[in-house]
Amino acid sequence: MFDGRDPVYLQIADQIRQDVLAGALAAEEQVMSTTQYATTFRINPATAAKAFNQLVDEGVLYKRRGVGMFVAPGARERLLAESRESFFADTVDPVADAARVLGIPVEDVVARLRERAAHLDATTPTTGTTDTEAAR
Amino acid sequence: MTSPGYGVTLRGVTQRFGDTVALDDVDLEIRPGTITGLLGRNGSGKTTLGSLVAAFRRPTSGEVLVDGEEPWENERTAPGVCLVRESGDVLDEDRLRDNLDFFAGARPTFDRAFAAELMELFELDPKSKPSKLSRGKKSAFGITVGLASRAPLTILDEVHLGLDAPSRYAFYDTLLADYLAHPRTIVLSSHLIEEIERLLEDVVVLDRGRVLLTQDADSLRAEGVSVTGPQDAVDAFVAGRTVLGTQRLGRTTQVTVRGVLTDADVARARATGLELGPVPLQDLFVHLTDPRRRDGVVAAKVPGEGALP
Amino acid sequence: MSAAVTTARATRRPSPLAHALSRQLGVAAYLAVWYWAIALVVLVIATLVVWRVNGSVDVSIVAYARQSAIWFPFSQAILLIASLLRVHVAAGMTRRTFVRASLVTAVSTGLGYTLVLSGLLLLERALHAAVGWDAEILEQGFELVGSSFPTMVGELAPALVLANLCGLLVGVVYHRYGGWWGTVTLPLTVLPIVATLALAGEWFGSFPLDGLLDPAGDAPLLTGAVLALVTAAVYVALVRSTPVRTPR
Repeated sequence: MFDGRDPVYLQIADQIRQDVLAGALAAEEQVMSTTQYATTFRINPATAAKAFNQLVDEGVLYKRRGVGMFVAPGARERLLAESRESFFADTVDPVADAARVLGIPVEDVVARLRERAAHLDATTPTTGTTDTEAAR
Repeated sequence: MTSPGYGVTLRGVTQRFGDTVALDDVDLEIRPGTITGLLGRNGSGKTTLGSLVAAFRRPTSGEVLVDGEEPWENERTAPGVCLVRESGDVLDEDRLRDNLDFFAGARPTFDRAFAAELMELFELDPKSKPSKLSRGKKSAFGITVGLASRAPLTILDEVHLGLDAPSRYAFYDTLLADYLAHPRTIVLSSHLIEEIERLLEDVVVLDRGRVLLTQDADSLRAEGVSVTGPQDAVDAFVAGRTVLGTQRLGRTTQVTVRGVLTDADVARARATGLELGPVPLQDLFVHLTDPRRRDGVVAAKVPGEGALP
Repeated sequence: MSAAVTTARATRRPSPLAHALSRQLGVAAYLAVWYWAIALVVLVIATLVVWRVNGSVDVSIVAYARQSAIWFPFSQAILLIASLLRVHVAAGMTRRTFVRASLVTAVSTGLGYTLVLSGLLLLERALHAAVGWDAEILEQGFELVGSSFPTMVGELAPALVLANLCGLLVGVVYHRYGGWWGTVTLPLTVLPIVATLALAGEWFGSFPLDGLLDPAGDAPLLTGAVLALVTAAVYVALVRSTPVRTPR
């Protein structure tokens, strides 16, 4: 786990964000402590704490003194809004760039997107989350 | 509330052995309560540094402070500083059990129950003698004494030598779990940087008796970037940056750069078809302590180094 | 509450000095038991052999044995430094503690061996008297033959204590400066021991100091004390400032 290309704390933060986005972590739900994170993933607790602090700064988590870290109310909505905002720049634009390099017509790309969306509609209930993930 | 451990400060510390300068005017700070990685090539001064902090010797000049006091012959700090060296400073002809008695009697923080657990973990026979142990078992016993001492400052110098991979990972897990349960300062020196880097909060890199850098591990990792792509594009991108190393494969070049990239840098790299990646601490360390680099050959920030026929 | 815990801990735990002392005295006692057990067997066998060959025992075997009672603890003190100083510091104790514990151990070992040796001399004397062997049982000039227990102790103790201290000194020189200097120190420290012995017992018939000092008086005790103090002072200075060496 956490063998991606970013520093470990960014990966932890990203994973928690994904869990919140996917609804795996609900608002007001407690997340693992830095100690639990450190033991489970064999990392220095300061690294785990760094991830949590970043998420607190972003308003995804909040701290209850002496109790632990909890998912902030409205965190999922905020993350969804942010993800939608950056979706076109981060996800769609590179697709367009790559299609151009490969000489794939834009219409083919759009057709493929429609096809995929139809498939997902048939197999899973439509939520904001699946929309975002399908587009990735 | 228990103390988070002893910090270490070195001010202008020089250690000579005859004509050899093992440490050269070293200024250094090890934060209390951290797991700090002490990295350096052989002969970089790591072991000497440990010896000074643990009052095994006195520096030729300069000041060493442990928890704010000079450790030399210091009755207060001595029981709280535990240096475990690869050589293993134990009673060679006494049974391991009697060794534990000896160390437990000398250290107020020693935990006999934990020592017994570690003995079991490493499959050490309490009735055997250190002089009869294999290198790996000797290392395991050093680790046992080092961790069970629960000293506010524990320095583990190349204690993994001779340990097989499962024992090493058992050691890392136990170290981390015990550190979480009993926070203290742990200085970990090892050549297996890849294996220990995630345990580290801070990193100190020594090179030929000098401190190359002292930094927290996460920000250090964020400072190394590998830039991969066509030679021209890479050369243009890294111009003016600190280049640590260059590799070529056909028309593709990979350059390791030190420094934090801005969002604009990342966008520019992407626009020119360059791939950016993190650099493992191990690679960063190898580049930073490359003898050619430290002699100023590679440090000249020449991206095309070695490319001319 | 935390103060109570600390106090409870403090009373349960021995001080570093007490801990170092128990280790060093423990080893010394262990070795002493072995040494005297073997010495006793050898003494008995030697006595029996001389008796079978001569028909009677006209020399004090125990008096000869004092040589080994000097050199065994001497080498034991050398080994104490070699085996323990490094581990002592690595265990989180100071050189100061080591010095104190080792000096107490050296002096107690010297005195302990003196007492046992003197006791054995008395025992031997009683045995000789009971069996009716010759009273002339000592090597030439040695004054122990008719002396009282305190006199014996007074004559033997300086050399035995000094031997232990010299062993420590040689040990620390070996530790600090390596084999060459250690070997050079060996004869230097042997000389004072021999001198003290000679003063105490007119060991050599024509020892030059014979005419100057009265062996029966305080001279041996005084000389022994001065030599012991000088040896101990040099030893303390060397240990207190020595780096801990890595074994090869």
